[in-house]
Amino acid sequence: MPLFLSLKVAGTATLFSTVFGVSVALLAARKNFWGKEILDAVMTLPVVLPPTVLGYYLLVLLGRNGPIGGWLQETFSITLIFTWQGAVIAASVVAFPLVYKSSRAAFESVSGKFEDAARVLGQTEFMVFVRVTLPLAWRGILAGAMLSFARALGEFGATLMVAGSLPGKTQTLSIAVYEAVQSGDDYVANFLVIITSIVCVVVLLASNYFLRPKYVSE
Amino acid sequence: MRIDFSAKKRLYSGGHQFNLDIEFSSEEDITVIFGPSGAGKSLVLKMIAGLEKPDQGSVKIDSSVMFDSAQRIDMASRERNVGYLFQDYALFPHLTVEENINFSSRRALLTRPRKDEARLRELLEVFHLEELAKKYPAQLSGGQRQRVGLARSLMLRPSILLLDEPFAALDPLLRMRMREELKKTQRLFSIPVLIITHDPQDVAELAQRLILMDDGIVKDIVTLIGAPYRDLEGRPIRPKIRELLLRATGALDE
Repeated sequence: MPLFLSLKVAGTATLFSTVFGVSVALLAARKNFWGKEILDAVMTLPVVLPPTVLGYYLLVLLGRNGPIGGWLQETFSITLIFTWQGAVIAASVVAFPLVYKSSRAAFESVSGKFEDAARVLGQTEFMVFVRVTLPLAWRGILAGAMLSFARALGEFGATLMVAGSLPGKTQTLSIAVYEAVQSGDDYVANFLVIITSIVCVVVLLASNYFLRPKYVSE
Repeated sequence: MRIDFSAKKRLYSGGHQFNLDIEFSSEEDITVIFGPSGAGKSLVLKMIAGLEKPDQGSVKIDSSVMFDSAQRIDMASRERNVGYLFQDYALFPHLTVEENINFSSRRALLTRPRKDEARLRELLEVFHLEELAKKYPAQLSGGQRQRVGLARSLMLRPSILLLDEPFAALDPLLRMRMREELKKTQRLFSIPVLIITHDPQDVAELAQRLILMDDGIVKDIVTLIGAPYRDLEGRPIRPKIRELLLRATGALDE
């Protein structure tokens, strides 16, 4: 049960962080604007901040009295705190920088000459992106998305702060491990630890495979 | 065919200022812009293709005005229909030879590509690429890649073919052969060609109209039609060209 909840939370979080991460990465890789490096720093912050600090920020923002949480509560009567959707938000924020960084590097490594070549060959900017930029960058994006997924799967601190540890509702794998160890349930702890490790090793192997360059240029 | 080009542009990089102020025209089949690296030659090609924008000036090919700062005309690259061979060809690494050549046939995601199968076959044949159609650029030799680049740029029957240092990446023997192939290609497709190069041999063997460029300006323009082509190493070349080339390369101290 915690495994499926974890997969659901991590999967959804990966989807969110990838869509958002790729968009911001494209902006940062292709446009020059004031405050770009500040934006980059803010976007990378979740990697270096302690998860509990992030969780606290999210609680303040999303809580019933927070600016976003209060608005959601009043307009749609949606509560995020102590729900699995809350866990998704926590995991998305924590996993975001991994896919952002890796997508930005992937976009920056696509040489502008390929895009110029496509323009000269009659392509609109949209088609240049779809037919040249994206295909040349997608391995880096995919690798980043997989790392995000592994990170989201292992998320503990921020998730615990925002979603708590409600068995069957918000108790993800990594939180269940902690609870099992606390209650001396070694059998369950061993089982969960092995499952988590296997899933993470598989994801890392896959992401390494995608990070290997496919096209040798010379 | 006639090309009329004039452009002014001021660029800053790393605290240095570079001024480009160029004007030339040509009606010859093969026009060569010769000058040292950093003279601004690539910038001229990019301006013709619409990949760089002059601060002021105009780009005309025959009666078609592609850029004119006074009339506020600035056609997008995709509408200019110029053939462009990039310095290292910029073949799309994720596409096969055939897909590279056919790249321009598709213009939108949802509409059918307008495939010109006859043109594709013709280009594959002319450039001896039939056997290589399903290969990827990384599997090709330098000369083969260049032929793919040429075929790709000719697919749309462009009004002019722009070549950026086309032979710089090739070894000397191959270079000689590819110059001959280029002359043949030019005649076969009867398309005007504009080459930028810093190799005097390209000038000696290809130029019908020579534009000498240095430090962002045109130093000299010469028409060389019917010239007995000769080179810099003592083998026959007309004194005027030799002098110009030497002056341009800064080697004239006698």
